[in-house]
Amino acid sequence: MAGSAEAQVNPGSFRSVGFSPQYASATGCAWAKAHATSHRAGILAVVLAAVALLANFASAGPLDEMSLDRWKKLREAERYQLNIAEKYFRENNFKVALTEYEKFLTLHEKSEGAPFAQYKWSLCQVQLKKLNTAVKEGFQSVIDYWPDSPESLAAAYSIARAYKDMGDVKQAKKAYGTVLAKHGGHLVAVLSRVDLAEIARIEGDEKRRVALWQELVFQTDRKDGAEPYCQQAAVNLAAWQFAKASFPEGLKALATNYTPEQLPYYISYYANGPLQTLTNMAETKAGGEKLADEAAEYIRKQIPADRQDEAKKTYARQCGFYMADLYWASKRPEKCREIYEQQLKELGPADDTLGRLAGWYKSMNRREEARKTYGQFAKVHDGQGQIAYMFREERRYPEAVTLYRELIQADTKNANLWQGELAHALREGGQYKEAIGAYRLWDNSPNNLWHMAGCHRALKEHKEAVGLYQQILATEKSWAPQAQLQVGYTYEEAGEKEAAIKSLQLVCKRYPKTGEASQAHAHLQNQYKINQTFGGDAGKDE
Amino acid sequence: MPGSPRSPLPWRIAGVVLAGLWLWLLADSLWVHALEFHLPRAAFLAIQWSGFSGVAALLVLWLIRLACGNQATRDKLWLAATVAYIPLWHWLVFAADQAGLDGLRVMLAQGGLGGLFCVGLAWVVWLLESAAERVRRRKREALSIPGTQRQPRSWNPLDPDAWFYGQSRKLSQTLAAFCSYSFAFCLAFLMFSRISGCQELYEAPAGGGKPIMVSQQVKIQKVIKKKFVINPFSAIVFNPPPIDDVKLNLAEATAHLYKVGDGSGEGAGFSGGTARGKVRFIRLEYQGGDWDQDFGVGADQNMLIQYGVLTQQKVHTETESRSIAQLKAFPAGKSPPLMYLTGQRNITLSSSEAKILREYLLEKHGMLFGDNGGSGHFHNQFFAMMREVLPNVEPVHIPLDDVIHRVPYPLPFLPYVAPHGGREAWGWKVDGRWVCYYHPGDIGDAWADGHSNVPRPVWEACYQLGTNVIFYAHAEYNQWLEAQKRK
Repeated sequence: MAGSAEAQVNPGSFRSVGFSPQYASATGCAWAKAHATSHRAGILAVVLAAVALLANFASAGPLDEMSLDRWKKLREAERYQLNIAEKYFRENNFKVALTEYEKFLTLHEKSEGAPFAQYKWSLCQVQLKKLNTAVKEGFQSVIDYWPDSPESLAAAYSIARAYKDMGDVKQAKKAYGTVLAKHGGHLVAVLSRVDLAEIARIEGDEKRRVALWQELVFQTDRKDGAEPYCQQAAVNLAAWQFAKASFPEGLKALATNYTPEQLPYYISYYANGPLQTLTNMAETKAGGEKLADEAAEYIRKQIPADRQDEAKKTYARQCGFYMADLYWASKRPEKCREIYEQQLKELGPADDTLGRLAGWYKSMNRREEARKTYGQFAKVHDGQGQIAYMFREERRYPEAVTLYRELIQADTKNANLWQGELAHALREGGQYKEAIGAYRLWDNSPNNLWHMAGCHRALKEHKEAVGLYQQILATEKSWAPQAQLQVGYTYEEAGEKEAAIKSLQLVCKRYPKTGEASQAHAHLQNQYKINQTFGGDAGKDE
Repeated sequence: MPGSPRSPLPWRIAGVVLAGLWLWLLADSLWVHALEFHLPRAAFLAIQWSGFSGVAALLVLWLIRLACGNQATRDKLWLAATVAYIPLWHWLVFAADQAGLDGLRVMLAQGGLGGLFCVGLAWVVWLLESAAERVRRRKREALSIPGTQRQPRSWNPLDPDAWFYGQSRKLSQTLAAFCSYSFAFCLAFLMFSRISGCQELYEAPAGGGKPIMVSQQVKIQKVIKKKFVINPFSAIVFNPPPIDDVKLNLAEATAHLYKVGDGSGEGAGFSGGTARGKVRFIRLEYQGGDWDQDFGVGADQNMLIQYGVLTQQKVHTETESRSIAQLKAFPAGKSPPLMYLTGQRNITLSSSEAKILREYLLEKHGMLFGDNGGSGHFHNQFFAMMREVLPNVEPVHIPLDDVIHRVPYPLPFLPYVAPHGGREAWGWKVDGRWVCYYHPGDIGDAWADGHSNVPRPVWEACYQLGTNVIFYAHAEYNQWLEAQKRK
């Protein structure tokens, strides 16, 4: 349950009202941008926290840093050598960094920096996918030779982590247990609890997992780098509590992370997934609705009574949106509309509220009302852009094209943006020749070249398409594998089998590490029954 | 002699004891495998040989005695021959099996089954004829009594005049008897197969060795460029070669200085193996996709041959395939240590199949070797399948310095043909043992003829990786067998 709750944490409030955040950003709507930014910030925070957790082995933050006090004690030659090794480590050139740390250990065996160098040497081995070597010859040596060094704590944790990463769960649990028993107050204990919670998830031991989260959230001092791990645990605990329809407990966990002003957004964000799951099933529906009501009520109480200045008005609107998101997730759309209409009444018309309301009409398939609502936008061009997008959704391309052409003339500041949208509308409407012309005027290389090639292919002008892909190949290194792959497909469409095979083989040969090589290899085998793909790679580091 | 009406009591007792011994040995060799687990191999074989051969020899003597003596009627002689048929047939199959004559064994097994069918059919015909004759005689006797009226409609199937046989009565009765017998024979065969679980055995080659890395010898030959004596004041401009320009000619020579295997025994192999045992490469058949991608001659058979070359162990002549349901037929201790699974489409697994796989991996100490044959979709399918089979085991990246990547061939990198599922090998580990190895990049294509034109170092490394995985599975299985024996 908890696992599913976490997995379903979903920021998709925009999706819920049928509005694309990409498009909102693209059209330059300030309201949408603001909202999208706040959502993105949330997503970014979560992603960063997850990445930080996952990457804590590669760079264990404070664990793989040397204190200034100890740095001061190093001689100049030692600092010089260590700096070289650190430079390569930072550049992810772990093979060279490994030899440089080795050099340091050979030259300055009795230095204050020796345990640090040994520890970093082990981290290099981890990065080079040699975990056994890292444990036996690296981390264990730090503990054996420098038991009193700060690195010995990190090494003890790293051993446990390495066992976990190698799938040796029993040994990992034992090693984590040792870390917790010996260094309970240290950051390594926090990291150990995080990893143990993960092991409990794999083993399906929910009780243990929740107990570990509770320790991290409520009993751990969030200092010396422990903050992100405790925050993540709080988020996980809150999502788990929400999945159990327990709002007060979830709120309690989230309150350890965020200020009262931030809480409405995060409540809405983390309750969204659990709410959808709960209200999907008849037996938990009542619990889901209760959770939504409690959360919405809490958010309502945070809305300031005095809404004279613009900042407070904006905050009040945002809180309303979060409440609407909760109701939407609990499958009570009518309540969303009530909130939007009440907002328009109490706080006056605003583009973001109107956009939400229009999105709601769209999701209810009341498209004419949606169009009317978009027509009330204070920023007329943004509203028109949305209407044009609606025409595209309805496959009424001529009307969309006309609107975009008007927008190019009227909104000169964003003319390039509208030019791209116009080209897309023309292509979607099957007017490929006109679309090519429009793409040519769109200043967004190599995107425009890519789409132009697509249009030429649709017109069966394969030579022109190949020419455009070749242009991308020559100019954009990162696009080269997919461009080469498309060259192969284009030749195939043109009936030039041999050229197609050669192009596909070239993908395998030139870019063997990419996903395109995989596609080309599979296509050669399936379509042409050719095994000679010329690919293959040794999987070595680049 | 056993069964003979004039045999003295001690002979009869001996006969019963021998029949019991034979049945017990048969049950043990087919289903129980207790002797094999608890006795040293030599003692086990001695018991089997003496038991089966003793019974066979006594039966032959008995038949000769019956044939030469005047006491037995012809029917009794045939009956005795029929009784002796099964143990004698079994002995022949057993002897061919022990001699490692696989072709002969199969021929004898199949031919013997056909013979058994014919013998049974002959008895059915004889019994039917006798019964029909008795019925006719009884009818004739009844009709000969004066005042007897016409017989009512006969329902007796032994009576050729039964009403349901229609016009051509004799032919219909014979056909009905033949069909009934064939059906009963097939049913009995199926039931017997079911009782034995249609058992199939997997036996590794006997031998021994140590699971350590192949040592590589590198001969280094220095080739020093010609030195030039240069006059620094010469008017001729001359670029002297740098002092360090020394070329090294490295000739790599790998010598098999030890036996690739596990445990103690003669030759390369496994201590838990048998003289007739061979390393087999069995592919797992599954529903939903192309399980047979790169299967057989010129494809995965190359890997099996190469395994034999690289390890000097005995290998089977061809690669095989079994369905997931067939995995159940392998008894614990005689099941394949490794099953290979590849493809590029869907994998559909029923809950019973997931259970069989789970039992194979955990209880029968098996291992799965997954290979992504061509798509990112297959990667997801494989992982979903493993989530169903082992829900409480999380896949992890297998380190390059893990034993599976080091023994017998140390691999400094993971070779692949195309990165369909990434560039790192994944594994599922249970109690310190890899129960599943997943290769993300179509290793099967590198084994196939032409090696997909990948560079030589890559396909050579792919062969070495395949060897390592097959060896790992067999070595782990052998250690488990040894541990079971010690228990």
